[in-house]
Amino acid sequence: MSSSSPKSTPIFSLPAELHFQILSYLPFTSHISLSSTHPFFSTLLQDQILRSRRYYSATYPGIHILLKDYTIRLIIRNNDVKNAKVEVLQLQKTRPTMRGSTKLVVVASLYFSTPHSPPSSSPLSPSSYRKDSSSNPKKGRINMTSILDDYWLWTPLKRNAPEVPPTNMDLKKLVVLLKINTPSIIPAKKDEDKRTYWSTEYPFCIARPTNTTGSPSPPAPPPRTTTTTTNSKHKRQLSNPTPSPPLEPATLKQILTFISKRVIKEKGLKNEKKVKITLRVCKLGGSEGYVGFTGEVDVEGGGSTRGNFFTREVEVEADSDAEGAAAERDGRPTAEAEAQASTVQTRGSTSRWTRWFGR
Amino acid sequence: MSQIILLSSDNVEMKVDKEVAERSILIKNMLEDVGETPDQAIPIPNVNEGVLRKVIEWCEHHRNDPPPPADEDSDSRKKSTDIEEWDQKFMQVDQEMLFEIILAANYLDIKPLLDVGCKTVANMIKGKSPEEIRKTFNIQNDFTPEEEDQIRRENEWAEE
Repeated sequence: MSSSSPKSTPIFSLPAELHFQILSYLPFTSHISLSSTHPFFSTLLQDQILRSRRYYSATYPGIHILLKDYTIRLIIRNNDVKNAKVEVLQLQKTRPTMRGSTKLVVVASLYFSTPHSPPSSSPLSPSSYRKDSSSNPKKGRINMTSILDDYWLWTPLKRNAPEVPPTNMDLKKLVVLLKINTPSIIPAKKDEDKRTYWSTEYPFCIARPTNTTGSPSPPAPPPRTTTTTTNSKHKRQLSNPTPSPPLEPATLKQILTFISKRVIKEKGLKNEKKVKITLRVCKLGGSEGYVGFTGEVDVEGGGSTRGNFFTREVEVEADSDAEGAAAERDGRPTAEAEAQASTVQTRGSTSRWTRWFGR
Repeated sequence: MSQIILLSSDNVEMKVDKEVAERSILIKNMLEDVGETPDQAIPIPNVNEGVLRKVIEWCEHHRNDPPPPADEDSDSRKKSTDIEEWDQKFMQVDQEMLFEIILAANYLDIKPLLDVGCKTVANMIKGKSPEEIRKTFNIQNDFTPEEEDQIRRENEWAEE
């Protein structure tokens, strides 16, 4: 801070409280722009506004950094996506819980571009999606945005961009929940197990099989044994202590497919049943932090079930093509059908249900 | 109608209607404390003649306005940056005067004028890039290259 002291321009003549009043009329994005203009505003915003509103503290490095580090990586980080931007549209703090924690609900538009095949194909099936992206990565771009509504609406932003069929992408709403714990009442006990689960390094990654014939090798699991389950197709060895294979970030579609299939499998639904799944991205900040989805399943006739999806569950089940083929052979609904489905009974959760919806 | 005399910081006396002057909560409380219309000029030590004239002009135009709502943080007041046409024209002054008016409104406790001033500044910031904001307010970029790089990286997700 040298040549221009804050007093050298009229705007710096205002006291902090008047700056705050001006800022109260401005959206969050303007706060960010203003904080980039001068150290005076940077300090003012970081130390006063953001911290006082718990967007920022010594523990939480700033909502924009959290979004950048976690949300974009969580949602977007995969080989198909070339560009990503999150625009915060609304910030809202929930009422404190009994434990004193507060959720900061961020409603954000997510813009991203991705390689795209002609509309005639089915770009959103997991297999074709991957094929399209690898075959010609520079084949056009599609900008998509979520509209601030209850649903994701995938809208081409460029007039000449090919239309994305609005099917299958039933992941409709992006609400980033940042649970901000009041620092003074953060539990002292560290839950190592949970922290392992919700690794921020590998949010929703996929463990790729190391060979073409073997089943997928999951990454080293956390020491939780109660989640070990078996189904007819895949044995999940969740307590396997072998080293993790390389992880690849999961695509939205893969995560959605996985969740849909689990819902259908758990509930024994058939094709005519519809499953509607709204995913929210959850982030618990600080040393207790984790990243994860909250899955919400609407119940026909009222009620809903929600809970967090464990990263590992996605990892283990991420071999969606193989399982999808098996499902088709068995006459079970495919991921495509499941993803479009709409309602499922969820009350009376089973232990397995609780396990992967549970926390 | 009774009149009072205001004395600016540069010792210029101005006669105004009491009703107009009482748009300022500071002056209104002062007059209530005194109990009667004072013969002597009321000193306004933080406001010079030019700014005081502008403030009085605003008060005269808004002399019949209803009092502002008691709830200072009412959502409607906070959310909107709409400014009446007359007020927009009134605020078309150089920046030095604009911020002086804001400071005077704050000192004299004239909340509606303070709101108009802050909204005017907010509208000058809204939707602008950091560089545009610097240009608008003649702010010199005092970030070191390292700081600037860090800030750019932190904020790049929000930029176009």
